[in-house]
Amino acid sequence: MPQQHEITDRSSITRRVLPVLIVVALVGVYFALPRAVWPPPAHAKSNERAPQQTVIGRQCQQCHTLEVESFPQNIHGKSAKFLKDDRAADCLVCHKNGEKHAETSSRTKTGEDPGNPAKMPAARANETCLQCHDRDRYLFDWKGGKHDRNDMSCMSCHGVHHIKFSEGIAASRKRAEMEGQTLGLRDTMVPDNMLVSLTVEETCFRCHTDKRKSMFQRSTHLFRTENHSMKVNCVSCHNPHGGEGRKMLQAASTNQLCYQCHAEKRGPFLWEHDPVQEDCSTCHTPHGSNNISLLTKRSHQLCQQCHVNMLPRHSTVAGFDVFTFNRGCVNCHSQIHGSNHPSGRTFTR
Amino acid sequence: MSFDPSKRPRSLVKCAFISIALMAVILCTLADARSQQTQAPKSKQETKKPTASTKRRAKKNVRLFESLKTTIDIGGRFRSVKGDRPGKFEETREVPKVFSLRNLILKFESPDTPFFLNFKALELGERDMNASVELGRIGKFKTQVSWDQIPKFYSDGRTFHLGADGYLAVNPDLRARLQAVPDAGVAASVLGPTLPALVRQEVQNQSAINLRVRWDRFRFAQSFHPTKNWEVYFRAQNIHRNGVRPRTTGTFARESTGPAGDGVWEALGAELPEPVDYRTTNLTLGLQYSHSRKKEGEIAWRVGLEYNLSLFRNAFPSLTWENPFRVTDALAVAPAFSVGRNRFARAQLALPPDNDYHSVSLRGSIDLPLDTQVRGAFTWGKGTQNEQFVPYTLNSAMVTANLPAGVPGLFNLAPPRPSLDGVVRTIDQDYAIASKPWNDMRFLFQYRSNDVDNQSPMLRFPGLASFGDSGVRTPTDFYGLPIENFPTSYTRQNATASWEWDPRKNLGFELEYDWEIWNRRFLEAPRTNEHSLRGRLNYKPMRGVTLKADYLYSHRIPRAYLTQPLSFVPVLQGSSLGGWVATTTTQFIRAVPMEFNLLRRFDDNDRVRKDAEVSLEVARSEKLTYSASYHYFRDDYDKQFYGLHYDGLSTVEGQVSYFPRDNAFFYAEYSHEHQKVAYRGLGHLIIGATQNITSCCAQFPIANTFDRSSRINLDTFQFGFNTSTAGEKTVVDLTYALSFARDRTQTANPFTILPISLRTAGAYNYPAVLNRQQEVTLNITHQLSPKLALGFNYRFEPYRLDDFYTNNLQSYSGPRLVTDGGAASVPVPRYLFLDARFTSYHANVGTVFLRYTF
Repeated sequence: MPQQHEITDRSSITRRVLPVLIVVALVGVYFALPRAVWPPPAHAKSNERAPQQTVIGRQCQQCHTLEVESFPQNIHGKSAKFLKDDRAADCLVCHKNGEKHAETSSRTKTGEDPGNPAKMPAARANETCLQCHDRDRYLFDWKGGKHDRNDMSCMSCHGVHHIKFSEGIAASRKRAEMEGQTLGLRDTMVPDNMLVSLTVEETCFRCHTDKRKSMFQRSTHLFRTENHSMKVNCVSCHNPHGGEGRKMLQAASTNQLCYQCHAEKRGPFLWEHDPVQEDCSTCHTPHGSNNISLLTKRSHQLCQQCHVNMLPRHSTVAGFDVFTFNRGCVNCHSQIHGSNHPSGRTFTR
Repeated sequence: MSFDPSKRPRSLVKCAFISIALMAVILCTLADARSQQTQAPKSKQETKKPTASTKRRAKKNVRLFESLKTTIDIGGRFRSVKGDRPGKFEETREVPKVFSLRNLILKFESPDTPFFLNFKALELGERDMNASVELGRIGKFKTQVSWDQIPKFYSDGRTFHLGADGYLAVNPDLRARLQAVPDAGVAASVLGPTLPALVRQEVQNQSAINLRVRWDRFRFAQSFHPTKNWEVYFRAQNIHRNGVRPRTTGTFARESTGPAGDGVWEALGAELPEPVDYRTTNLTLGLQYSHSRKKEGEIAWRVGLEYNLSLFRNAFPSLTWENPFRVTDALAVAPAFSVGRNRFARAQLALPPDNDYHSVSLRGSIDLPLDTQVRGAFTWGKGTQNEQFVPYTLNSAMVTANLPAGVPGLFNLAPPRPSLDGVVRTIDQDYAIASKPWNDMRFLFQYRSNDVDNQSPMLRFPGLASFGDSGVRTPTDFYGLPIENFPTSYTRQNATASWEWDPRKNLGFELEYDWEIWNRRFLEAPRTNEHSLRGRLNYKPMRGVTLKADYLYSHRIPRAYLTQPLSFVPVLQGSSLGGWVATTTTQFIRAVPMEFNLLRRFDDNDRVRKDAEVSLEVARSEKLTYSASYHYFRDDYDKQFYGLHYDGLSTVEGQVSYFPRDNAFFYAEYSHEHQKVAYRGLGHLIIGATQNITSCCAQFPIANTFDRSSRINLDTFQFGFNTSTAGEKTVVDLTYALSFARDRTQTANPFTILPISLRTAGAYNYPAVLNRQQEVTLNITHQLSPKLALGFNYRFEPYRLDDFYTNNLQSYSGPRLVTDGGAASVPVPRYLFLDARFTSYHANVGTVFLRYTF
């Protein structure tokens, strides 16, 4: 047996994890130690909080206890407290009419509309978020992007307070809890990136229901571990805020995206297989397939769509024909993504 | 060779210990640092208006450990997996039998610090473990580090080949023994029982090996904001793939002994345990400046610059393997040329070569009045590959003295150059104007382009080693065309215009037009134009009800479709339907596929696409939500030609979620997908093709046409139920998932096929392929105390696979078989399989776990 296999199996977890932990430790020390030896930052000296936030926050807390109490722990709360510039997301930044609402409200009476982005039309709600997030490079292609044109609001996927969920989201969140039970997600108050659901995939599946079935197909990119942790999820390939490429891909083209992990297919090869260089999705479907290796068709049927010559045995005894066992045509043409062998014109070596 | 499970707990404990110790060091340091910060004086405003709660907070000396939320999940597991080849159960995961530290989650949640820290380690110590940490300071920097392991298991196998460093050797005694068997190297039709029996016995004598590759993915991302407008970021990713996987290699043999003389095709080859040691490193460095709009009417803009580097390194650029059936080199020569193949002693595969790719991208956007944004991105890239060529052949018999006159001896012959020195330049462009001048209307105009210019040199070769390294092919075999490579290039361009109109708050329309152009070099369709029109409707008749409809129509037209200039013969081989042939005067064209001239390839042929979807979502109350949708998709190709005729997919889906009471939840979902594919092919003649140049491969009688149709159904059903006691003290989850795919393929001959082509054109139906996956999980968690939970998880997974591709992969598996109906017999494939495959299984897994949160 080749030795490489032993390397894989015998690899000590400690050896594998240690570099990560060292990096973690170093980075942690990097940002922690200077705080101990350097003078405190300016805002710590003067403790300049956004005055309105402090006042409004207190006023809001009288009625919106849960929202305000949980707010300082999340990223927006921290920005309101520790940033002095226009990125400080205090209550009034998002709830523009908050002051009037506070003036006209009492414990028993709801006053003027505070301006709640979750209840606004998508475009207006997004304007609220883009006040700060238009600097975000991941939002570079947001305007006019697929989700923007479909009238999706930021609140379709993200939630700031996570106290109340709309009807559809509540079910999605519950389902994610059940799926993620073994991950201990049930206790998660604020999921990563403030998503409304607990995981990326569950957030996307709310609308893209047709992709959910891919998890259970014969070959899939959406495979899960025993604890239902998804190793390759939607944002591994797509930028939901509008990607560089078509279909909101994270890269300019399908192949550029695939090469990020499958760089061995990039070449250039001496003998190129034309569709490979053009578009991986000519032969592979990205989410899930009834065939092996995410192929769009069974191996020999796929190849025959473009090759008739030299393929006379199109359908004989299944399983014993030269083309219909094991990996089909790839039994011989194993370098089908391209060959660098001087004799590899037909991708057999 | 195999993983020693006894080492796992030790590694696990070590890992956990080191993790916790390091985290403790970090957090202690943080705590000290932050305790200084918390002593900072209060602002005037706060001291002016103290409330009871702030007074309490002020007195409290907040320490980080008090703000740290930790979850540790420890489990013990039993499992039973039954089946012939149950490897599918752990194809992309590991489910160990032993005690494990399943999850460790640390979350730092303090309102009194601008820092944040999250640490997550899942399935520690397992092949599919994941650890990640995210830390940062609000508005300043963010650091993300992760380590992820992804296993890929191909099942167990048996092989003659053992070795390292890209060389697979076979026991020399075994090779000599197999070569000495009288029926080695003969035609399959005369294959006696001795060799197959000996091969099968020897394969069984080999020890089983695991065919497994693991992806180790390390990621580091650092983002830094020196000011609010500037961002500098860096990303690094290293993927290491390591292990062994199956790699097939083979050739075909052809006998002329069939009942009708049209030849019998046979596979000769071996499946090798290929060592994999790939490293992919991706680095990104970028910066962005954003000028925000400070007041109404001011213009906001952004500009960014990014550099990307991607390196691929393969520790084994080639794989050399020994032929188990021969210790001496020989050639397949007449009269046994078509059957006596794979006569080399050693052969070599060129594995993926090292390659580099750099790119620089510049992008910018500007927000103009009337809610209009103009943006653009330009990326220039260069990819290179310069791996040394391996020799044409390692077969020492392939020398001029052993070959006919004029055929070059390829053994020890130097290729035209030592390496390709391949270069590909890429240019990606994306420009858009997005505007919303009125509240109810918006526009988008976008141009996108991907240009891939392969500037690699074109090389001409005197010949190729072929037929299992047992023969040489020269330009004569390719109708006189030189043997040369064609570095293909292409440009894809899209121009899109979209108009969206929302006449009412609850009603929206969108119309989109797209023009897609492909320009290709060295391909049969040098240019295609595709025009598509999409319409979309979004209607909300009442609160919580959404109706969506979407329809796309597109038509792709190749400006020209180049084919070889075959000639039509009205009567071919006695068939009055005629056919297409290559004659002695046919001038074949360089860089045009040597294919049947009536074949049209689906990826660049004339195509009409229809894509429609309608969906209804109802979420009228918090308790009940449901939705239904129908999706229709179909590609139609020109049915006057051969190749794919249509590929259609229709999907119907429905789902419902219901909260019968506050502490109970139910969901169910069903989808049915039906795919229909129709294809027209043709069995061309091999034997008796007398009118072409080389008596091979260029007679296409229309009578040998066949039609193939596939019906593929995929049913997916899922449901789940959740309930809990008061205060969620005990929580019960039950989920079920079913995925059932059936693939049925039928073929038929519309005409009476030529009598000499029973095997090349006779139509037979394929057996159905079934793939049924089910997953039942029951999870019960009981909260023993506010911090401690005890849980039980049970998983049942029955899996069924029935696929004629893999149902029998025994090497040299047995006697000749007869086809359906006894129309023709075929030889046994003389193929050395690893027999690494998946079959049906039943798995039961029970896990008891303790979850401690503090």
